[in-house]
Amino acid sequence: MAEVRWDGVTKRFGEVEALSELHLQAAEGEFLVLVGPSGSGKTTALRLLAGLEGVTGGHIYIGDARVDNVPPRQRQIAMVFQDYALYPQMTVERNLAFGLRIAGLPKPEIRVRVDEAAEILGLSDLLKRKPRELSGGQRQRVALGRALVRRAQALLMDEPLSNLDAQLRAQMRSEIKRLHSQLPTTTVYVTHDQVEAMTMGDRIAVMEGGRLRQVDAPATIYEQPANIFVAGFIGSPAMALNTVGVASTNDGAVLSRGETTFAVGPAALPREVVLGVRPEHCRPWADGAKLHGPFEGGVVAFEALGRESFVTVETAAGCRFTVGCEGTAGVGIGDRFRFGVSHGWLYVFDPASGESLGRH
Amino acid sequence: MSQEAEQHALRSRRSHPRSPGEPRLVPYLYLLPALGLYAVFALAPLGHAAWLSFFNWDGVTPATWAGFGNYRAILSDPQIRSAFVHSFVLVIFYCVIPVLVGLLLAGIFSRAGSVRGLSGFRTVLFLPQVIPTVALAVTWRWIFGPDGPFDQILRAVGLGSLARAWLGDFTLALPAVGVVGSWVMYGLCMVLFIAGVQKIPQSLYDAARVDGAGPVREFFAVTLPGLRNELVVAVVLTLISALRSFDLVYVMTKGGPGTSTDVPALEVYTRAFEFGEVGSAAAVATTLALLIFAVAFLVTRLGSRGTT
Amino acid sequence: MISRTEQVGNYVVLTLFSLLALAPIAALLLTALRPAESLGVGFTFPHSLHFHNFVDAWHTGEFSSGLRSSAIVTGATVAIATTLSIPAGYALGTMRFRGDTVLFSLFLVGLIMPFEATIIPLYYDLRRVQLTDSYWGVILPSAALSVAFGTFWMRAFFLSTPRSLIEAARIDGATSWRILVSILLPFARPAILTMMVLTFLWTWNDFLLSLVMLSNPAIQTAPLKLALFQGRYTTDVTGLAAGSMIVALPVVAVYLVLQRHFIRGVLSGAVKG
Repeated sequence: MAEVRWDGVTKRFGEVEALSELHLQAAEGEFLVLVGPSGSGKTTALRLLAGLEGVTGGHIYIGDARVDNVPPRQRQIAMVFQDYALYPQMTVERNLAFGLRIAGLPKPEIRVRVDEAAEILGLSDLLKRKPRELSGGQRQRVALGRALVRRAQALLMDEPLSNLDAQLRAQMRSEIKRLHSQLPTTTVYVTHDQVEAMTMGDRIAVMEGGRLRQVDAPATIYEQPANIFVAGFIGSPAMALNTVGVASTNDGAVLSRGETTFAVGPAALPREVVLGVRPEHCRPWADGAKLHGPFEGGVVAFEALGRESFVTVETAAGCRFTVGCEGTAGVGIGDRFRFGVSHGWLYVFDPASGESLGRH
Repeated sequence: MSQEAEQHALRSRRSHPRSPGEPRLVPYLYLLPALGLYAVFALAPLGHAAWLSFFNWDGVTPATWAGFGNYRAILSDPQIRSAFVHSFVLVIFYCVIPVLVGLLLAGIFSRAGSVRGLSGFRTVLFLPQVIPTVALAVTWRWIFGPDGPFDQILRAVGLGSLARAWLGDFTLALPAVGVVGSWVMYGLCMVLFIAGVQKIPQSLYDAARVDGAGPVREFFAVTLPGLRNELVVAVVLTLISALRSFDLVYVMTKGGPGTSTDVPALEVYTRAFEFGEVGSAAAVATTLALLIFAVAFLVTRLGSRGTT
Repeated sequence: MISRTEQVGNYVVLTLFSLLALAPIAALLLTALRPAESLGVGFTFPHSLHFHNFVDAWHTGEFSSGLRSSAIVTGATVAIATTLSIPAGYALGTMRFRGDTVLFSLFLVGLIMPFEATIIPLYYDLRRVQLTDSYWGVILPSAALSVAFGTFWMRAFFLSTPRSLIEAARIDGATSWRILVSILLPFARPAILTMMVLTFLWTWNDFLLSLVMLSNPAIQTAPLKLALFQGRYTTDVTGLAAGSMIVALPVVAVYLVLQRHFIRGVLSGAVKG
């Protein structure tokens, strides 16, 4: 197991720059998740690490070795693909053993490793079957197994759970986490699903448009997003973002748009900022609670999820907030709704650069 | 593979910076044997034919330069002109009629959903394509012969006055050959179009029906556009077949009576191997090849115009 | 939903057209089986089946050597074309390299190009190296054109294989050859079979190339023999019919057994073309 590093890596496809000067590393044994929308460059970064593509600029390191021009088979990495990529004419056993046989490992050794991986993944009964006879979840486990037997320095996963239904996905998520705790291989995991990212990663690297936007532990990413993109991408339902004006008063800064105002105490802020508030910090108005507000607006949307619901409210000034409520909110579109915002949970961002200006 | 990765694979297939360790020369090695054989025995002769067309040569004595003389002769020689005209007539029989028949049937079947026993019908309909053309030529020569089966049928239905030696008739020999072509090709078109029609989603027809379209409107609005690809293939295949026609003509009529069934391919053969006018033959051959390329290109272009 | 009458109507139409396709062939078969003494040139339904007509035609038309020659030529062509097309299609379908589009376009030319245009130079060039009047004079040009189709076909197949499969194998350490042989070829059997079947059909039925190249009766192919047979025995309708059946039989037999591959080949070629 080894550390992997992207050192100023750039990748261009013709005119298009898919990855710009990526500086990122995954420490030994770390589970690093690359997350972002399509076109963010996360898959490019993974494929460059695997050696399936060549870098246009910068370097890739696996361990101490610079591997820019090293072919995939010599990088000692293993990869799990979204469509599993199992060899269709071979049994599970031969699928697992394929790479080992090419490497020239002696038969007994191959046997040992295959059985071991099969045991860990619960595949021992399926060794003689062919991929087409397996369910989606079983196939994914075989794909994992194939990566396991290689005892690679790094394990790369390209959206492996995207083809599974929601329930299976949840199951496999914990399976993969369990595996990682048992065999802590350096893992780089690519996904577009932020739930996967948040639950699985030791650290999350949020990417957008070929650039790294923030890399941190999940909690940090959630509570201290570095910019508007990360703030809006992570968290479901998404953080409500509104542009507001800033006025200076004796008591400090006041953020406002129309009658929607927030007094935030002393703060050095530009004249206009983007204000972000997460749904869990917007509450239906209750007198006596320590909240900014009351604010009132018309209900434009709501989602009732049983245990909780989310009501999107638009104030007269045109600001939209998503209010988290316990249970079912019992509102209809167009109803008036009063809500407040918790103190200390206003995220402020610079409108031009998108960078975070702190939490107030 | 994730959608992003697919896009990658696609993009990187078009850009050329190689991935690490990907074999540099190996692809050429894989291609070499095929390319070699193909270049020597198919491409080179094509170029050579064009080269020969600029000479006057009898195949034995040294050749003399003719420039475009052979080509000018083609334009002025009535026999060659009529040969090309004949091949265009054959196009009507080999291409237009079978395609129309095929389309008609596809239109009928578009409302049918699945047809039971279709594979059985397909096997039979496709049979004429499989039988060696020489055998077909022999067969139809017999059918169209004087007092042959065709004449017998005519007599049986009371049209006995029309009975004759079809292949000996100056005006009717070419259409007779054409009819054989239609017979050979219509099965292919039918099979192609029925298969194509079954790929058109039923929902398009439902939508059209809801919009109030009758069968004719349905055909032009849904069936025909949906068969675009198959149409292009059918037209290209049958058109080229008509222009290339040699086997049928050679065995059925040898270009006769007179020159009424002469076709370009036959001209190439007789000029080169019976009259020793190799240069002239090469010119006809090259013209034929160019014509076929142009037609194939045009049809494919027309076919893909209008698709995103 | 369509009415019962429409459904029946559809079947009637299909049956009619199928009968139309079959009729001449059926007539031919019956004529081949009629008593040899009947001299009429028209069609008469035989009251007894005389299979020995086939034997007679076999000898008169020298079809044994004809069939043998056809078998040799076709067999060699199919073998060579297949062996060469698979690697070529593999390279064009899975690898990226300089000039891959140009090279593929070159092969496309062969798909459209008529034999008729190249027989003249082929004849004179091969005559110079004394390959006319030999099997190779027919095999090599046939294989060359078949390779164009074969490469196109196999490339289309390899293009349709999932990239991730090949990438997984590369990560597992497989060389391109190993990927082809161990992983892709087993997958490719139907495509290869279709390619072989279509090549067989076109090569067996070829007439022009054999006509130009082969003048030695001992090595002339079956279609050629049939044409010559007709030239000599124009009025021996029974014999001609029998001869035609003999020449057509091998291809039709292969067709009936493998029809799915034949038809699928043409149909999917439409999509890929």
